[in-house]
Amino acid sequence: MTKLLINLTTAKDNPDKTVVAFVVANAGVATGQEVTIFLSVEGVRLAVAGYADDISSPGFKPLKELLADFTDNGGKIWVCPPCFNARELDKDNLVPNATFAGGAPVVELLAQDAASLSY
Amino acid sequence: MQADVTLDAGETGCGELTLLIFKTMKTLCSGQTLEVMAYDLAAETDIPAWCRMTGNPLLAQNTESRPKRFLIQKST
Repeated sequence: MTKLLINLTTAKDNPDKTVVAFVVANAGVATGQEVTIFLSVEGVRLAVAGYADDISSPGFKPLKELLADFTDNGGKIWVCPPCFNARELDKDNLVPNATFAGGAPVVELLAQDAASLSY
Repeated sequence: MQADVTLDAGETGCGELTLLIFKTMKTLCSGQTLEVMAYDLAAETDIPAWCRMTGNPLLAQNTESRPKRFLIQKST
């Protein structure tokens, strides 16, 4: 099983990029890879339950469904705390499989030869 | 936790937190211990990861307390 790290920096500010990141992430879980999405910058908003409900991009399933597919099939979501706190988001209302993680675990994963993509 | 040195990292998080620990650990002698006090949401993820990657054992942690507390030993 290969490790894949996807860094996602967008949310409603760029719905196309946001949706595509999850589509690719799901391609990863569907092929048996160990996939982690690291939410940073605006991407941290996706960690709040319900925020993704109205995000979509032409040609793809709604992000709400893509997110559920991802977490239901073992995908992990890491959330950058400084980015999260700077936006004054609710840490007690996170989507499933979301945990706070900063630079050290991200670097550790990359140092373990994880492939990475950044959106 | 009984430690040789205490670091109050306050709200510092992410790469700034681990860099602060890195710089503080430089001032310790091998075998000495550092207690880190942190409020960062990801401290219980980031600090153990830093310890694994740098080879400095995490001897104890209390992530229920506020601040959270981590006891790290400088490797020999």
